[in-house]
Amino acid sequence: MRSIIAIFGGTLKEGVRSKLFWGILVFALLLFLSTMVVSELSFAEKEKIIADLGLSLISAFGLIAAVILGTDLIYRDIQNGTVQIILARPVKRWKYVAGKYLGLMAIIGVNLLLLSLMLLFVLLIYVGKPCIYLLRSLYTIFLELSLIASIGVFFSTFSTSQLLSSLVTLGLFIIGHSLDILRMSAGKSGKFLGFLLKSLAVIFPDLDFYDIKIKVIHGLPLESSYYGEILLYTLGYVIFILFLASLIMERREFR
Amino acid sequence: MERVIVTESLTKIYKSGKRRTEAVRDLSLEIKRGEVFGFIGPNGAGKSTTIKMLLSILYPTSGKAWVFGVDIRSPDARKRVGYLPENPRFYDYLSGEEFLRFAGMLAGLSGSRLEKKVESLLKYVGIYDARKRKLRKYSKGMIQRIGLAQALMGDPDLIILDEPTSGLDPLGRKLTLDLIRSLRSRGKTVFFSTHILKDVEEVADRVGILFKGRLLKVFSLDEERQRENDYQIEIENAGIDLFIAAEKLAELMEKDEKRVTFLVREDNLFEFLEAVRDKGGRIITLTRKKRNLEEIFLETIGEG
Repeated sequence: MRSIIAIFGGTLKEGVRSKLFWGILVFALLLFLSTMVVSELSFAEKEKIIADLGLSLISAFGLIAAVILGTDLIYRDIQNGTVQIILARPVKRWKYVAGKYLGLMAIIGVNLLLLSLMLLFVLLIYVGKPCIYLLRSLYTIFLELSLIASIGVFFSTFSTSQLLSSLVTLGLFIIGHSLDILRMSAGKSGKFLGFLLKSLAVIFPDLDFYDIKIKVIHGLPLESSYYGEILLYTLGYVIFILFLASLIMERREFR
Repeated sequence: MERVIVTESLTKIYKSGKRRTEAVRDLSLEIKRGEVFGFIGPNGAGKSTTIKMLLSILYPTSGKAWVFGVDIRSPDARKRVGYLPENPRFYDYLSGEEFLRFAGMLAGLSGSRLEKKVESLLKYVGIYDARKRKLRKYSKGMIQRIGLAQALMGDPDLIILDEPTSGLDPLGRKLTLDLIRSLRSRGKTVFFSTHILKDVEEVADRVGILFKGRLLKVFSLDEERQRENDYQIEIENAGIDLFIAAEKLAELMEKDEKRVTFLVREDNLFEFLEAVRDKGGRIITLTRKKRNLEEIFLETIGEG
């Protein structure tokens, strides 16, 4: 357990000391301020516009952090040979993967927390009330990013190019949000292709499941069991993906 | 005496498509507790591959190995081991102190024990004043020192150093060699690889010569130094009587129709010379044989 904590702590420090982390925060602050300008130009309710744009920005910046850091952390350790120093200790490889992933999630969590505070602060100033109800959407954004980050970590255990890993992870993010199209295409395709598309729709995580932004902003009802179900759904996928990542690490050699 | 490292026919073959490269072949070796073992060989001989196999960073293609009696495939085999890789690169966003704390936690330390160890090791390797500085601002020598410090975290009984003096200035080199000596005096086992033979001559007890993946020779430096007092004696008119008398006193090195060359230890020198005189032999040359490690190394890889 101590080794997981050590790797977790090291990864968190790496994240919060990275230029990417601070770059995202500064850029996001500027964009949050610009949402106020946009909302002035619109006839719609200002609170909803700022909330909608704000949540979309948080989601996008979170995605950038999850993809870039997720595909980079283990990859860079391998390229630099730092992983060898860690594995030369009595550290099980799955613990290394777990420590890295948890550290990454802490970075994403801190990032999300700061961005959320910025958004809530902007709304408080502009609308004059604390929009706490947005936390429900922020919760699903965090879970979705946890899933994306695990995919990034998975690719970083064997990929020889961080760019390629990032592009594939982004590709899977897009597919995850297009499973309805896959299912529709499956119905219209031939037997084999239809089966293939249906299988893909089952294997890939359904990322639309996480998208409750519109419902939250417009106060539409959500089943109370939804929040628990989506947590279990995410945990199931993340554990499975990290299990695969650990298997790959277990077999890997470092020259 | 406890055997710290044991390998049996350890072999590593790298496969890339149809190409097979034998990095290490049939390496069988035993390292005993308290030894400083110098593992020498030219670049690409398989030294780092062997070390990485011992640490399960690479997996052997065949053969077995144990560290402190534990199969190297188990993480427990690395419980009492500290390791410094060749040209180490650490987390450069951490300060020296933070990095050692990280290494200490990986070694199983925590709380005040960890803090004390971090402080004492920073002082031990002479970078206490730079402890707050980020590693990216450390010089190569300082990186090597912090590397040595992290290898000593957890007070390991076996310290494996891969090319520890490579690229260091004379001061850094002296510090590293002094550290190896001090580890030996504390009963620790040191296994280090290098291609700098002078370093091995200075600190090693035993030496293994690795060439093209094969362990060609393992010998004790003390014994080899004893051999420095051997004499090479070339003799004419050596009859059968002289051969019989010399059997217990000397080693036959060369023989042709006219001349015979013997290798004689210093202890037996006068007795041997008397035998030569008594048996009618004539000494042509008498040379004190002094071989350094470089000669032994070149001779060994020449034969290999």
